[in-house]
Parts: sequence; structure tokens; C-alpha cells
Amino acid sequence: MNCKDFSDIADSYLSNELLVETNHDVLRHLELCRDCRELLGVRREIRERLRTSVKNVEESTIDPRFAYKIKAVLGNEAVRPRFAGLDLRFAAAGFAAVMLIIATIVFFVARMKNDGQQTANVNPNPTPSTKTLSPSSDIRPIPAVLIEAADDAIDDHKNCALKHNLAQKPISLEEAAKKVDVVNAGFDKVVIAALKDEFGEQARLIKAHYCLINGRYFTHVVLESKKRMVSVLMTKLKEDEAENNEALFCGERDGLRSACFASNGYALFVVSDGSEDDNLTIARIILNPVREHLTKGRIAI
Amino acid sequence: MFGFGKSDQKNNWSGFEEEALPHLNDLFRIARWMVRDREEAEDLVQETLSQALRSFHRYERGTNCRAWMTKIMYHVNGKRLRKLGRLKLVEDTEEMIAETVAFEPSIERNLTDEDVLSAVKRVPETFRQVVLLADVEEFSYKEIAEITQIPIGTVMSRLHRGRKLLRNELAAFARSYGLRSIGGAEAS
Repeated sequence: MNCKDFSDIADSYLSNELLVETNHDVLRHLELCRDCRELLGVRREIRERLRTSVKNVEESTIDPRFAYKIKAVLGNEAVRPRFAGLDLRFAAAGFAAVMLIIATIVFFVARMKNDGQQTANVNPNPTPSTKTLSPSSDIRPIPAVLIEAADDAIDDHKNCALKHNLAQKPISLEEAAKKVDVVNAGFDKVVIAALKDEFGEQARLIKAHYCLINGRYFTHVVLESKKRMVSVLMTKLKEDEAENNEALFCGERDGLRSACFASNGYALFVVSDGSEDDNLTIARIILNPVREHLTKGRIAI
Repeated sequence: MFGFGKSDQKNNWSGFEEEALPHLNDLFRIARWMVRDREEAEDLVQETLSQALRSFHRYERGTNCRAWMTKIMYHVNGKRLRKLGRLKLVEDTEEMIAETVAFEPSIERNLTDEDVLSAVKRVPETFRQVVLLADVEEFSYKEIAEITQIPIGTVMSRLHRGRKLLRNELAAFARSYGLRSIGGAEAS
């Protein structure tokens, strides 16, 4: 191997892309050639400079808000119903085509009927349609951080509040505040006070504790609201800054529905067998007081 | 059967969260070099991840997830550029420019990050992208060939030329400071 040969493959040598035999040739040549050792040092230095410069530059750094947003959007996409092996665009096109055919048939059938009726009886005041869309039928992205915990929150309401069937005995919120997380202290009071402000005596605290379900710990407040048993559950998220400031419908299973929001790195769930809107209303009522409580808790830490 | 069950979706998502999402920063950095501005890069990353999530059942666990997603990103970007009419075929002139690089000066240690980045930006895109994939992102030649959908021999020749062009640009910066080149100058 001569110096020209070495210069041609020096970068591949640095990238560890040479065959073993060629690698041996390179090493033998480097042992004997000071110039090529220097050249290799320079190439290595260029590569390190390039790597650090490109990685350090601010324009290549991801905006944490974008990172948070994209995780939420993807998490939401992940739980949307999909058809395996089918391109969604084809599925959507197929669905649109079927709907168009149905609409055409319905239109002609209605027209035929209408024509028949018109000959017999003409109604001068047709009744306008009063059907409106429910506000909760809006599709909004659920932050990804809430999706995983949402199932566990429903399980906790079912097994802890309704069936009293927990594998591990819960501890009081005072004890949890001392041993685990200071935000447990007074959490139940914050929740119930906010609901009493809104609902008066129709809101009543049943119990509050710190419990474990499916390997996840929840600060769990069980209450009665408008004669319905409701769980308000709070769990710590991995992302310390997780916050969405908006109550969203986030799941339904076994006749139980949950509303959720994220605040100060905690996920909050309202679970009951009430309607989607009932749970959302409670979540919206407690959102601000809970956020304040958690902010104070963080400051205290 | 049609459709994923809820637990399949959950497993798919948790696998994706574990294997794919940790590469978000790297993907963004690569995207940033592929498109004009931050907003375009964010759109590209979002579309890439969305597509990767939909195809995640095809990803083979234990293989290089970052390379798999980068390949998707190149594919997504190619489609996007075709749509915008911005897809640039490799021009012979670029290959010829690269061929004319006559000597290989070395870089000056006092160059700043900005100098290095300006030098990178002056390297034609065709060569720049393989240099960045190899020397910054540390993908193997084979992975780069799969990501960019070009033959491995072409990857190697573009790398060779791209690195040479970059060294030349860096040397030009060093010269503009009135500094001498250090060691390693040689005939091509």
C-alpha cells in the first residue's frame, strides 16, 4: 500500500468499513508512514469537528414544544381504529363511495315517496331538523402521556371504588404525602371544595387514599356527585412538564367513561358511569384548583 | 380479520414509544438538513413518524430503528419534493465539480462551529447528504444505500468526493483567516 492508496481509503478505515485484510494493510502502512498517520489524525479531527458542529447548532435542535405535541398527536393516532393492511386513503375513498351510493338510493326513494305524498297531501309547514352535534363529538387529540394511564384509571375506579378489590392495601393521603409525594396532602379537599362550589350538597366526599393498580399508583378521591359515584384519579407522569390545560374525553370501557387532563407533570382522570359530558364538566371544574394545588406542591418540593 | 384489537394497538404504541420516539431529536436534525426551514422540518418529521407508526408492525425488532425511520423520512421527502416539483436529479456537473478537486488541504483548529457549518452548506446537496449520514449520523455505507435508495458503490463515490469537497471548503475558510493549512496536503 502506498500513500495515495491510503489517502483513498482513510475515511473508510475511520468508518470501520474496510475488509479485515485491507485493515491489516492500513495498519502496516501506518506503522511505517508518519505523513499518513498525520493525515489520518487530520481526517479524524475533521470528522469530530463536523459531528460536534452539526449537533451543537441550535437550528438542528428540536423545539421541546414540538416534541411534546408530536408525541401527543401520534399517541392519539395510535389508538384510533385502523384497518390492518389497508391504506387509509383507500379505506376512506371506499367509505365515501359507499356513502355516496347509499345517499343516492335514499334520495331517490325519498323523492319517489314524496312525489306520491305530494299528489295526495301537501304539507305547507315542514318541520326543520332540530338535530345538533354534541359538543363532545369534536375530535381532539389526547396527549400521548394520558393514553396509557387512561385504561388504568378506569380499572382503578372499577376495582377500587366499585368492587373494593385491590391487591395491595391503600394508604392515606397524609401518609402518601410524607412517604411519596407532597402533592397528596390536601388533594381531596381541593377537589371536593371545587365541586361543592359548583354543585353544593350534591357533591360529597366518600373516601380518599393512595392506591396501586396494574403497577401504577393513583391518588384516588372517590366522591358522590349528583347521586353518581365518581373517581378523581391522579398519577405522576414520566414527563415532568406535561400539561395540556384542557379537559378531554379520553376513553370508555365496560360502561365507564373517563375525562382527563395533564397538569404539572401529572395526569388527572375523572371516571364514572355518567355521560361523557358529565365527566368533562367535573374535569373542567377541578382543572384550575388542581393546577394551582400542583403548582404549590412543586414549589414546596 | 380486519383491524387491530385495542391491546394490539396499545402494544404497537408502546413498542413505538420505546424504540422509535427516542430518535426524535436525531430525525429532526437530519430533517433540518434536508429542507429549507424549521417549520418544513417539523412537518417532515411529523409525517415521517406518522407513517412509521402506521408501518411499525413491519419493523423488525432488534434492527436499526433509526436507520429504518431515516429511510422512511427520505421516502416521504422524495414524495413531497416530487409534489412540489422541487426534486432535483443528480446533475453531471456536480459530479464534475467534485472531480476537479485537486488537492487536499487540512483544516485549521481555530475554525468556529459557524465556519464548519458554512463549509458544509457550500457542499452540493447530493454529496452533503451522504457525508452527513455517514460522518455525523454514523450510518454504515449499507444503511445509507438503503436510506437514500442509491447503489452502495454510488454512496461510496459520493462520500469520497463529498468529504474531499468539504475539506476544501474548510481549507478555504482557514485561508480567509490568513492561516496556513496544517499537514496532510496531498495530490489527488
